Amino acid sequence: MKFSYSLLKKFAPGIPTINKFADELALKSFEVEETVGDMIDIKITANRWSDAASHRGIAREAAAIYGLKEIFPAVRDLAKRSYGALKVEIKDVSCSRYIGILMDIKKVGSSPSWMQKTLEVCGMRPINGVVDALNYIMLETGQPMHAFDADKVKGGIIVRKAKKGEKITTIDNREIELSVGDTVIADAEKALAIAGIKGGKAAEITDKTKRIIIESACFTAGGIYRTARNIKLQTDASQRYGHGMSPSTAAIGAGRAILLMEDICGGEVRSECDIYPKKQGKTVLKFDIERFSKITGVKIPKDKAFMMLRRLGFKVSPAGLVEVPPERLDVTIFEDLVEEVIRIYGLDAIQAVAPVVSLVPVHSDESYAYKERVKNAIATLGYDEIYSYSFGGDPTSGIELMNPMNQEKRFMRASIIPGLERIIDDSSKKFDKIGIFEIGKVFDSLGKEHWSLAFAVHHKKDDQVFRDLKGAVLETMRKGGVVDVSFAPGNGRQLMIEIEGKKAGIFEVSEEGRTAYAEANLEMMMASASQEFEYKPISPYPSIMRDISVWIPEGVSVGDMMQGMERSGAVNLEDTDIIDYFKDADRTAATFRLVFQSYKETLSDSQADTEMKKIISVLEAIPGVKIR
Amino acid sequence: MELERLKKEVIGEVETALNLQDLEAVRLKYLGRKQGIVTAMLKELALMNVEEKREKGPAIQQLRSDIESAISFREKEVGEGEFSGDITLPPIKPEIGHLNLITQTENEIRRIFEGMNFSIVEGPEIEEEKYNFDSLNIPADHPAREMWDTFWLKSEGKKKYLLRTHTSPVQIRYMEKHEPPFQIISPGRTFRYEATDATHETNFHQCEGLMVGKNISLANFKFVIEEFFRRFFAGKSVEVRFRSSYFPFVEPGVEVDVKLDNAKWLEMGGAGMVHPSVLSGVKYDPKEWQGFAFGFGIERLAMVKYGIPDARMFMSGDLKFIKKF
Repeated sequence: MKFSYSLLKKFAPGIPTINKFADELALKSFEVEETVGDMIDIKITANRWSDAASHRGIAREAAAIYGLKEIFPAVRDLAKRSYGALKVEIKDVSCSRYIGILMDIKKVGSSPSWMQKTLEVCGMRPINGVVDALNYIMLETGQPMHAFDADKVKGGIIVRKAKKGEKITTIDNREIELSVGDTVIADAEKALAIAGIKGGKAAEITDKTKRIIIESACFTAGGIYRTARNIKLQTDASQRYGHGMSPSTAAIGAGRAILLMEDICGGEVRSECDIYPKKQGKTVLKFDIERFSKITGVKIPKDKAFMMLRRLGFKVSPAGLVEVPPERLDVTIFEDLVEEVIRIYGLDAIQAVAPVVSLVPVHSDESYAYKERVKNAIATLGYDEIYSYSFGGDPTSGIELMNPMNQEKRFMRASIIPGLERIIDDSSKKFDKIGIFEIGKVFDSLGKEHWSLAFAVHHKKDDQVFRDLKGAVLETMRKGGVVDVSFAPGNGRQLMIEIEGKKAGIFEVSEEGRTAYAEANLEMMMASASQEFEYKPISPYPSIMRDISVWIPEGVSVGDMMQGMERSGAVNLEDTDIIDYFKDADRTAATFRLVFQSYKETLSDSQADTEMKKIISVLEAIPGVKIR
Repeated sequence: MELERLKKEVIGEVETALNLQDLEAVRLKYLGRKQGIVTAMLKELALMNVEEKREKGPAIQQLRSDIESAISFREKEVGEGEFSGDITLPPIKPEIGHLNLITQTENEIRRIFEGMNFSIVEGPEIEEEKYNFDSLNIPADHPAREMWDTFWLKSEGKKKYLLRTHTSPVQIRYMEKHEPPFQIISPGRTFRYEATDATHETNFHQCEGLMVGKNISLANFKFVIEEFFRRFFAGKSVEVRFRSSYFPFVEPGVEVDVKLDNAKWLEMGGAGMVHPSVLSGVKYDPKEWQGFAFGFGIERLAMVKYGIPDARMFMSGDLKFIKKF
């Protein structure tokens, strides 16, 4: 929100230069976005609009920070009782106060140049004498003001709920259809304004206006906030009311308006009407200096704390009873006072003190340690870790967002694989070999979520992605303590990864055979993980290696052959592995490596030969298999 | 004792030998077959009776082996020969995998806080409106809620669901199930419905913390957070300051700034003393229990630590970026 530094200085004479003030304000009150010339742009926090969205409010902060005396402009006291021709009726509880002032004016004219200058610094456009003065009062006091051409108002002012389908044309010529929840300012015949948001065309001030009705009112925050959102119209007034205003500020605005109208437009009051059904209660809080120290860890004398509060406009009794200024709607409990004192006293007074607590052992969720264990295992396999968006699901599986960023991000991801696919697509030109993985949450169509682990492998030059990724998946499972893992046929080209015989993920090779993907439910992995590995001793005796090459007929799998060899009854067969494999249109060949090893003696060649005969006979028994 | 002195003498001579010739001279002097001093002792030993051998033998044998290993060690230091390759040849880059910088940063944060006895807890990314807002004293139908631009989910029931805008709901869920005192942090993915730019992403990661006890004060928070930043930015001088701020779930509320090596103040996150309504909302007596809460962006911490200019790089999937860390 833009403020005029010179107006602040008028209210709080003695504040330092604009940039020094901005720095101090940023520490003790509000962030300052920037200062340009006379303009200081202050980010009023959402709880402080009722008092600080005004030059008076910021001047009070300045006075409190620097210990200055503030000088606020004169305000005409309102009449004790309503009088004259103007009648106001409140028919909607969301209006907590309505002050109407009926004035005759000599001319609408234009506002004086000092006023125009302040308006412009604060980002407002001068319009005419009446409107400018009322806008200026809002800048000064925070109170939104409005004026109607009294000759266009039929009967009195009525604050009521909008009728179903009721329409209003605003002063900037927008036609807006209202709902029954919205509040309007109306006369006997029609809506004159959307309450607390925008004035209507019907009773707009023109340069011919001779009689005006000035409105200084208060509306409850929720109603204005909802209406402004529903009709998508935010104004300076709606912002202030939407955050919440005090009805007491309405009296200051009205009293100020009478004075300025007299000065600028030659105005004369004919009638006043102040409808204030339920007076705002006083908030009185007890200030406990011991509790202050217990919360902040800072010891200061009681009187010093009281002084800080008084400078901020609080009334403090010697016994420590604190009366909150009515416009400070944010202060409702003792802790709010703690904040007031410590921020003005200086947050830098807080010195670091080590907490003294009884020792509670760390009991972190296991999932963090498990994720770290699995991530480290995969990274050692040469895979790079990706973070991709949680969006990017599709209508068949994911849950839908009400307000997506764009059409591609409408659904939450049910799988991480599409995210990895995009990265492979983007990177496949730049790298010969890519191995990536991600651990993240995935979501089903009901919004249920679980941790998932996904891999992708891409080889530009060979077609070994299946074996490459299978190795990575199995090694990750092993390092993750998952013992019972197997692969089984799934839907179409997709394979299933099974843990303890249950589907725990999928495995897929792209059609052109250069990319493979796998995804597994990390929570199933974690549930199945055993922490202990059993150590099998290493034989002290040398091993003997034998390779055997075979032609493999259609319909026989490498797995079948390896299982056959392992079950051949060959003694001392320590390991069976495949070291070469090729497949073309006509035939398939493979070379197996067999390792023989004893834990009792050094094996001889003839012992190995004997065992190889058993293996060869098993292979030859498979129809179509030929030893090369 | 005599042997000890002799050993020191020999080792001294070995260490000061400047080349192989000197070293050979030392070897001959003590271990030479003909007039070596230690050799002579061994020869004498051979003539002794069994008891004397048993008494003196092991020490002399040990001396000989110590001298031998000292000489062979020194030989390598003064020996000849040199590296014959071109030392400017570029290395072959090992093919290794890389943990994402977000993971590395989160791990570091977790280690520091676990070192200060904080437990690590997690919660769901799809949250109920209640946990993300209401329980955190963030009023409905008030602009305060707009401090968090929110992704809402389509849902049919009464309860409204959203993508958590911070990890604070984890703390509420934790408090509902645990009694104080405790200290926890909750790192995790969070979401904001806002246009992306160099400092904003729709998907990002946060680490929030909460400590509750009978006397936990803002001064305690200052201690913990200073300790954290000192360790996180190890090697740099670290100053921490608080600025007055507003977050509905804390009172007083502060913004935490950090100054590294006397450079500019940097905004790092929000914090404050847990609001009494938040405590009473989880059935804690606010007169008995108090504590602090804080929250930081993990990407933000990494950006400051490693000088990364753009928050969008983390989710870009650019492998060149990932391979740098």
